Amino acid sequence: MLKSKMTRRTFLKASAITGVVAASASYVGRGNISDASSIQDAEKIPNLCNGCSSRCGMTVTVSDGRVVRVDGNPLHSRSRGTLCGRAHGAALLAYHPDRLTEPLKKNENGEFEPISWEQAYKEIGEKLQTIINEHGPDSFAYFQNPKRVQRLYGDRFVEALGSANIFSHNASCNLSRDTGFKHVLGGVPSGDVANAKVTLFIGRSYGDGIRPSQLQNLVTAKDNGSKIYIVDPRLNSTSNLADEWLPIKPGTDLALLLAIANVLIEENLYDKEFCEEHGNRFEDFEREMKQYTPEWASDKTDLSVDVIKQVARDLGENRPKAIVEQSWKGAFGCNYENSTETARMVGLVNALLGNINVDGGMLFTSGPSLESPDNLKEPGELKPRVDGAGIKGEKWYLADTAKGVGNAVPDFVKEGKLKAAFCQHHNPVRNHPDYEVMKEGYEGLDLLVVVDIWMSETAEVADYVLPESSWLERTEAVEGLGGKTPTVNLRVQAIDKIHPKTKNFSEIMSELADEMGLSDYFTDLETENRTACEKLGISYDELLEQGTIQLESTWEPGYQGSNTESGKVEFACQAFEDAGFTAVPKWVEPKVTIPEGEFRLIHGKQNIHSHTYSTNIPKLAQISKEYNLDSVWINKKRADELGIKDGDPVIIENEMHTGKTTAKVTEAIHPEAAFYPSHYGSRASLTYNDDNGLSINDYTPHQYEAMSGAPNMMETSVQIKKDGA
Amino acid sequence: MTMWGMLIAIYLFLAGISAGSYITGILCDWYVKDERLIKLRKAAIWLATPVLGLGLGILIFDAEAGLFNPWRMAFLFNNLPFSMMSTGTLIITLFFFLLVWHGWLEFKNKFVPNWVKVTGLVLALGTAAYTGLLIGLAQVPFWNTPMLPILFSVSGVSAGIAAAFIAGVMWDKSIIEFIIPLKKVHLGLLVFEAFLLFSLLYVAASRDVTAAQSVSMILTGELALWFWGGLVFIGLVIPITSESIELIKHKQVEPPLDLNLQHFSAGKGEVMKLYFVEGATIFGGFCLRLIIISAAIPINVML
Amino acid sequence: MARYGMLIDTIKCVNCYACSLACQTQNGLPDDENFIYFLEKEEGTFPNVKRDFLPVQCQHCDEPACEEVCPTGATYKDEDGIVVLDNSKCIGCKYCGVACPYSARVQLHDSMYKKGTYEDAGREYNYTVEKCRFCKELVDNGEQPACVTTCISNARIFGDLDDPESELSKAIVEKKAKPLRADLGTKPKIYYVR
Repeated sequence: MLKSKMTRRTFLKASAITGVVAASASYVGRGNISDASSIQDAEKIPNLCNGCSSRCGMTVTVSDGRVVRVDGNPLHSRSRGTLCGRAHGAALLAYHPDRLTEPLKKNENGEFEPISWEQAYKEIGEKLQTIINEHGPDSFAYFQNPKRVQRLYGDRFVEALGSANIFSHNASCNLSRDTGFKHVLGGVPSGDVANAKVTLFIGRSYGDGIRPSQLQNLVTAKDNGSKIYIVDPRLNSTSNLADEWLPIKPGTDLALLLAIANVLIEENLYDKEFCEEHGNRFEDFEREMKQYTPEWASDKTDLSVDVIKQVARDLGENRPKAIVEQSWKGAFGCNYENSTETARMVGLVNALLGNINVDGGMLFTSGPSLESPDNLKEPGELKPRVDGAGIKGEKWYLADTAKGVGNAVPDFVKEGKLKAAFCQHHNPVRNHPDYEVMKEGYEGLDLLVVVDIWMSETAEVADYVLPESSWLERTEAVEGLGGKTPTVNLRVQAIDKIHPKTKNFSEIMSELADEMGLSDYFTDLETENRTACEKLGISYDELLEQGTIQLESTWEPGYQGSNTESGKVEFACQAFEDAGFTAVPKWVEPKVTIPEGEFRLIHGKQNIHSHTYSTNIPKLAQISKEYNLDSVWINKKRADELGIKDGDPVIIENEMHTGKTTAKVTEAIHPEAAFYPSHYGSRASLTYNDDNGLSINDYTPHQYEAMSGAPNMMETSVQIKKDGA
Repeated sequence: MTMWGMLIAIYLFLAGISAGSYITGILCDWYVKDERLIKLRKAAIWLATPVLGLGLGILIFDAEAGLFNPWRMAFLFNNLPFSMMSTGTLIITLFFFLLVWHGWLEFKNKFVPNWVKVTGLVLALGTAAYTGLLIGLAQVPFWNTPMLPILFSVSGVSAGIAAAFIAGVMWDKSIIEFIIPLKKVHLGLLVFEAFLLFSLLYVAASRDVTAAQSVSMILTGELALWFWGGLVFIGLVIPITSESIELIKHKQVEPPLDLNLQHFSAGKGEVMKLYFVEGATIFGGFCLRLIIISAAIPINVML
Repeated sequence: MARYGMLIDTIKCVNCYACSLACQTQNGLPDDENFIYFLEKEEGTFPNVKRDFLPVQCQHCDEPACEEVCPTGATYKDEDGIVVLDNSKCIGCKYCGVACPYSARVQLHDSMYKKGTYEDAGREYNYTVEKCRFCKELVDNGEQPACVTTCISNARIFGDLDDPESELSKAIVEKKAKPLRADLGTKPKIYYVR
């Protein structure tokens, strides 16, 4: 029980905190307690957290030029005045010893050597121009984390050159989910959890993949007495806020949803009026759902018939204030052969409940539209996307074009379709399954430019690595957020650059554009920001001051039509039929069947980490060590059979990889599943994350889900045995 | 483990030995009343001084904040009599000064007034008891038994007698023949110590879940080798067996014990045997403290 | 004069470590030391399982075991009932750490900090045996402790136990919150909902 406490002091490697403490910040060890005083002469500067991709509004307290504290910005709709642990860890990134300090170029020996910015721009510009002249603009791609500054300077750069090849990191996150939702509902709604009477979470854990506002909404729901179901092979960290845990067999969420639809229809618990009026081909759907009885689903999911019926009835009886939450990566973001189909069914079960865009239902809200100066040159016609997303007749016609099938890059390189790429704030070589395939793919590019704050697995195979200023050292583009109360938000530079030769992404791209004669497409950030505010009728100076401005609500309750082919909710989608699938969602088996004695390796987020970068933040790495967070969860019964005790060293292996970790033996997981968090196993040479565990991507082959092209990240089977046995 | 580690175990051990050694000196005077044990008495009293000094040094070394800011040690008696640390440090400090004085008187062969011996004896017993009370009053379930201070006192005196024997015999081999009465006391203490030890484990195991975890750590867990090998076998079985055999043999030879006859030759074998057996007792005393300190598991607050 | 206390609603706690990380920053602690630590307990057998999370820190006892054993008087209870430490008196004997039933004391190691590669902010820890002080410097300023401010799910309420109208006092009654191991008799002032 007290194990964690007793091993607290074992991780000696970790160093220090940075200087957060500076002089007057606090008084630990500073002599008499009466000297204690609050931070003196501190400045409070608004910013947007970069701990994960949620970009929560925060206030940075700076004293003596150093970050001493961060707080949530109460105006911001995602943080609402609070922050998760990642914010406190990431606040010190600027001072990290691994920071890149000047542009690097890989020489003939494969080693990086520093070069000047002038040389970098000149050489990159020339090489890129040569490649485009020779192979066309569509041989160039850009990989990013989709935020507005990337849109303004990254996407626009690519488009100015005539390419449409923009890939976000979402292929390894929510490509399937977004693809499914896009086709049935026209986009991804947000569950109004706070006001719903019943919420069913599928694989999504607000307590593990934290966005503060969502967790707060769940707490509100709990306080209001709503019923919360969590469907997850693992009893996740949100469990105390849930009324019931449905420990589903991994990869079978689709069966549960099909059966829920079946019960809702059979027991006439659905919103008939809504479905008939706003549904496209509802009768086809109604007919198809007949086969998916709770008895059938029980067999697939390992959930009892009674539980399945109970959930369906709870949802149906409380509609429209009953929702199946939209999830994120969770269970069907990009994980199984049936993930896109699962996403379609989540959308359609919500439609059956008639909750689309009603209070306590699934909301479609829009953010403010932010515009650029009128005098900027607009990109001309773009070459078709290399992945064929959204192009009829292509393999991944269905895939969401806003995301792209980024995991297919190695194939495009091999086929000679991609020759050059830029990558910023994204680490595809580590984040997509099969490191070897990814590494080879990205190495095969004639030109790879990575913009980052430290080396990543992707940067290590790049030709040029350009050092970006870290997030507290830069001002970014004004950005908008939707919601019942839309907001405009801004990241404002809080501290001076620690390393003077680093640059903001916006500077890097516009300077490179100058070099390539593309200046007309760009203007400086300040002009962009002032223009956006002016056109919106808000004060930029006020935004600089407070970081967030709340706008009048534009949200109107009630169904407003869908952004789908038919303009309705697509209970049957023609597009799916066109792409060779069925119009109405149907049961799809997971691709991998787990042999007797093996485990399905599933993964998920831990609340102190984001993607794979944060394990190099010493404070956060320290928590992982202290609490053995980089352990694999195995069901107690299975562990007993294998002679594995809690805390034992174990080996996880399959035909792709063999690695060592420790076992967390628990009753809180489905026997078929082995859960390992997705943040560990870095291969980049960084200070704090060597020897930091395993990567789930080393165990999953390079593969595609048929519908969306997503990488099927949980379609893999592993053996686990005691180390030394 | 709690925040206290090896250094505290050594400190408690040395303080115990010092107290035991001094008590041996007083026993020579008052209990055995044998003129031929003067050297043993002197050795015992003199030994107690540096051993205690070393212990105090280790205590200071372990209190790093005080080590680097020595003036803070002046605050040590701020919490009398509530803090066992304050009280104990006061006892030990007084004991130390008394040891120096008593040692000086012995060195100068001057008369040692009885009140010095009485005070010394009280302070020595206080020191031995304090080493047990210090940890006994901490909020560690395994330590919260009434037996612990008694066990530490008894074990301290027993290890102290052993240390004094070694010191005395190193000085003058012949005293080996005159220490039989003390050996009886020693044997009694060892047997009593074994009894206390097992009752402590029994009581601890039966009163609290966390304490029971500590006990199983000692009996069958990671401390088992130290316990069975170090403490029980080397520290108790060897000395108890050896001293018993010796006392039985001795009884067969008696009486009368002619003062001038050399019944036993204090040969090399006898001396080495004494070093070995008494060394084993001392080692056992160290194992006891190490085990007790290491087996501490904080209170389970998650009940 | 107040009698400060706290309520921690573990039902709302998702074990996200934000409180301990905010605390670390606020108090300038080295990466490997925290004033708040987490215990976890699992009950039941699959599929009827419950996981309990328990954040533990100094419980600011009304009768603190650490104060009682502190030889130098470095640990004391201030006029607002906050158990604090006068660093200039602490000798680092760690008796407080051994006496505290909640394992809430932490000895800060300067050397570990210096080993780090980050810029040294010039702090001196000097091996004193530190603890949570309810962010006294903030509280004196009318602000909330850092662990409370950052807590996303509002699982922490800080306030005056002597004021029956405080949010804290009301919540303790309403949620039937109880101190941890009240049987130990130290009269802790952190109340838990479990």
